[in-house]
Amino acid sequence: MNRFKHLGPIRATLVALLLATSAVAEDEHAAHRAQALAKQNFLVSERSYALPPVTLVDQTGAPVPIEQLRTGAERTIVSFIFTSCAGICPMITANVARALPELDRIDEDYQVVLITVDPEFDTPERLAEYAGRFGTGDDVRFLTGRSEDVFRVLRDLDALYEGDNKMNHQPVTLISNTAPSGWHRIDGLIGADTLVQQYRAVIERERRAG
Amino acid sequence: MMAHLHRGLLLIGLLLAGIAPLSAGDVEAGRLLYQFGQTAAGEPVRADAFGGTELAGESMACVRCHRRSGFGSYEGGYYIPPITQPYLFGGRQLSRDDRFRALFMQAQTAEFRHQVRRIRDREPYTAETLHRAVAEGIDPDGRVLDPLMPRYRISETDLANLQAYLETLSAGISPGITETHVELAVVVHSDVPAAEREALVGTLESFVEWYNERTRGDMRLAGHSVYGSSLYTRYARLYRLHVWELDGAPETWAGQLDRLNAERPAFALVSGKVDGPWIEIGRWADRNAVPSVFPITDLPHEPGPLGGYTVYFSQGRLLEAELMPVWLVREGVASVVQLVGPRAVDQHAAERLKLRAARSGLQVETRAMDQVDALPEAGALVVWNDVVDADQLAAWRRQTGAGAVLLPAEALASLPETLEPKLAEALRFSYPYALVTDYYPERHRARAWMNTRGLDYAAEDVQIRAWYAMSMFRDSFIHLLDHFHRDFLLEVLEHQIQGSPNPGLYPDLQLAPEQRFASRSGYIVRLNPALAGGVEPVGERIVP
Repeated sequence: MNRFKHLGPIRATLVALLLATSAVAEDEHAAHRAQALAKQNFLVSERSYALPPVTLVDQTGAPVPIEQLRTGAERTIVSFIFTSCAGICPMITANVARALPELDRIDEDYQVVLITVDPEFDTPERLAEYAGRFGTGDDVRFLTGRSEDVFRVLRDLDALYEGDNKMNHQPVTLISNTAPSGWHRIDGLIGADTLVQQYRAVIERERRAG
Repeated sequence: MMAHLHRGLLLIGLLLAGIAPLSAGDVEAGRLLYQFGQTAAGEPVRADAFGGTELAGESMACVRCHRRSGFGSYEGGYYIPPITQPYLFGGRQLSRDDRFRALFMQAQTAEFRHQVRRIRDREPYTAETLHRAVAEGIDPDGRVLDPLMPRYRISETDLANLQAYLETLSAGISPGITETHVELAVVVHSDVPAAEREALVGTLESFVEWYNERTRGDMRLAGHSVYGSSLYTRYARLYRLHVWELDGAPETWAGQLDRLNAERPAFALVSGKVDGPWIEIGRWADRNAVPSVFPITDLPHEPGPLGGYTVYFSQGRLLEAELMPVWLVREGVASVVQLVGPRAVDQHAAERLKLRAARSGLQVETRAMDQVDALPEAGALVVWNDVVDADQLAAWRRQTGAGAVLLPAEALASLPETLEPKLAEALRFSYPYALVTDYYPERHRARAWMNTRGLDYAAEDVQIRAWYAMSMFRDSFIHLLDHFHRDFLLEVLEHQIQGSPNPGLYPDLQLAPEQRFASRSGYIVRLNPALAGGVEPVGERIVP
């Protein structure tokens, strides 16, 4: 039910069920497999989130004033993870990592930021180790910080989980757009292809809007 | 040797239970694949994962989602089903109760709601259908598995090994369970002072008596309880608490525990206290896969693979040794001299401080307690020792010219009544606890419970820790229903701590999969006799 609370009454919403097939199918099984793995349920909406005046730190220990989510690059992709997450965080991170080469091709000025929802456990050292597992190098900034600060950011980006239980956290991806405080929000677990496709859609819409 | 014996017993057990082992694979190799994503060839297992990303190794290990117990998990609005032996290979016994926790999870996506409510029959797995599920993501009835389930590129050998392991996974229940009781043990060393021992064991025994009274009442009224607890009553077990008393030196403890456990196996250890490190007991618990729930200790062991079996309140003195350098660097101190007593806890703390300081460029000179001549100058002095002599502290401070003298929180209890004002002003303590001045309502509940049981507050800190350990065990154990598996207990406990109120001994208590230290932060405090608790924080809470 939680998901529907994100549905803005006015902004356009869209429920998408994507059934994509891999372009290069090695054999019948591979095609089926790719099809099954590409099945995604997600919900997109346009949001406006002001950022709180706090500073977090990245995996190298460098301070990151949170307004850099808007000023650090023309566009920012934000998602949320924690390093000891059993199920979905490795999928989120792996798919973000896999999207990077394609994102590089379609845009020059963007940044990817993954914010931990478990700041007291996820120290910069742990995040650096986690980043190493996915080989994202400097391309993805993993943020942690004082618990109060991280939770202000989560609250202001409407990414708080229920019951104060981080195992309830649900996959959310945000792509900043040129509207003041504007974010394109995707609720649900998405693959690299969808992330790229959504990113393209954001650029397209802005281009049309001129 | 033990592994072979274990496997032999397991096979006999399975045969007795009428379950013929189907696979010729190697159970141990299967375990490495399941838990660490390592193939028989010693390589990382490869899989196509969600979204079509190819991943390999530990992040693709079955244990990441299905957990060590095989009972699965519910995380991020995704329902990950159990894959234990009875679930995969036995005839399915559909039970609403099994889904009970999942049904009432706070966060549910539409997909999650659907999956949890969709209980359906399925053919038991065979070698062939297991292969299809693992490699192609198709179940025995031809249904396509969720995209979150990776599709593995796996050899016949690895698949046979995996099957052999799955055929043992949570196949029979863990030791320490009878038709009526769950056997629990509290480990206490004979050197623990009588008052503390009494506070600890007395609180646990009182809890057990109280719990058993209430549970017997519910059992008599099975099916009629007002608050719906009858739903769980048929799975309830009465508690039987054994006091496992250890004697002598730590290196003999494992042998003593083996004997005690052979006499009457305990399903879990609850609370506990020894005079010294918990290291040997923690290692024993890991070797024997016995959960140890919130022992009271200053020195935990390094948890075994996948988090091991002990859930600690905190890293104790090691946490204190991390708080100090963080604070010192914050204060602009560049060098520190630490004096180290002979106890294991002091040695370990000094080692940890050195490690932590090295990361932030803080210079550390470490001296044993009997090598305190000609101490070098330093910005701060740290003393790890059980005896605090104020005159000596003052002398060392003058020798080193240290601005601050740091001691572990333990020293607060043994400070002399009056201190030389200059020294008192320079004293700082690492404090890995909640501030007495902070308000934690749950603490009142703990006290109220003690009141109703007629327990006085002789050693309130010990009593609340014991009460909390039992409460968390109770709340987790009941969620097992009749799946009495020690691994599963720990996994439920990880969830349970998250949603439970904090009785205020530690600033925050949290766990997550495979996390074993519930509190990770603390303060540096100074003396302030005007305040409750006698100390006040210098700067904000530190999460090292």
